[in-house]
Amino acid sequence: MTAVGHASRGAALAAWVLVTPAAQAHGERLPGSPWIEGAKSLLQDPSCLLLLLALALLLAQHGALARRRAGPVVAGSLAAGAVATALGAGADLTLTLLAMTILAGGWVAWARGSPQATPESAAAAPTQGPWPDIARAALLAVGILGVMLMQAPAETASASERLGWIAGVVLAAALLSGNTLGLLLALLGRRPGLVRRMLLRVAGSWIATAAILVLVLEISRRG
Amino acid sequence: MIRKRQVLGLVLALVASVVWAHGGHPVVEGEGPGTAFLNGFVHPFGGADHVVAMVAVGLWGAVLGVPALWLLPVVFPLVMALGGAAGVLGAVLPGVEIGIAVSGVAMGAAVALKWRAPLWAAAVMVGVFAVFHGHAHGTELPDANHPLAYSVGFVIATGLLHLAGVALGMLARWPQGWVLIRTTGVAIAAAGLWFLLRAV
Repeated sequence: MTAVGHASRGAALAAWVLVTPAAQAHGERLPGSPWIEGAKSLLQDPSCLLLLLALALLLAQHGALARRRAGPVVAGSLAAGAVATALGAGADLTLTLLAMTILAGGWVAWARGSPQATPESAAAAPTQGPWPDIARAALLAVGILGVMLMQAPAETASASERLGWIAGVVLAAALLSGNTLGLLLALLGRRPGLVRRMLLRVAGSWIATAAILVLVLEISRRG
Repeated sequence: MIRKRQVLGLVLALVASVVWAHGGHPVVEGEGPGTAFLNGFVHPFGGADHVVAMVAVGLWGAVLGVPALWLLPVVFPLVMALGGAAGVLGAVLPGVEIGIAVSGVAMGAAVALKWRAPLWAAAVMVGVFAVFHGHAHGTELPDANHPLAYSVGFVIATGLLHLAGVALGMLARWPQGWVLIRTTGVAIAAAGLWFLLRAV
């Protein structure tokens, strides 16, 4: 996928996000409303959005091979989350999602191996073995599953409404994370490798910082 | 490319100083996450002592070069969050205002003197100062209606101040740029000294 392709997918998402509230502004229950409500529920939950952004950053930080391997993990997590919520699972996982956001953002900020100044020094950097890939896949899977469980439909909803809602959440999560990743790659792809890695690390530290502050605040409010 | 970055740095530095001139913490009226984000975003600009120190972090990182260039702007917000967490939980940290003022003096002096500190020393120094800045902000966070939106805005503004310092540091590519950078360091140290005298 070219940078233009990524950008156009991002524009499509932005248009979709803008059209959704506009369509709802009429106050009517449109055909397919449950899925719109499900998508809206995800898009209006800052803790879910921040986690998805952090996971997209985590993927953008790694090579194309790692991103291709992540595809089945994302799809599997979305499917597992959809099945679980359809069967009635769901929970308030705000604290867990914030903790995972800290992990993901911190990982991006502190990824082993500092940004190398030259391609030669980058090539000479030590390899890390399979464990980072496994841990990253686990974080991705649990994070997306957590987002899905957090956005479970109301128990009082009918079966068709529940299915519509879940479809909306799955669609929003897939579009949001996919297009965020695409936009990141499009925006950063033209930058030199050193600048790209530095910007990603700084962004990761911002996300982790915001999540730490809110996690502590949530704990202090609840405790 | 270099010229664009330099212009961006100067614009950001000017914007910061204009907002700084108003004094106090500006507040955007209204409710909702958007307003909370804006309030968080403008918050760091409300305190001149914070603005000076955060620009100094980026500037010193740029003076030290890679990897300090990215390490210092990453260390500062992360450790600042720990200080902020202490503030949220009500932990008492003595001499917060003095610590914030000293951060301006120390980092301004480091830039002015072109001090090539070891990476670990620079990171530790920035981290220690970040605790004071974070604590000061953390005590104000519990009032936010939408804390996550507020925090995101607040952290982005903090990071942009770092990037303003980094952009200013890019002037080092010009021989004459060093004069401006070191003069800025002197100005930051002098401002920090002024805040220190007011704090004690």
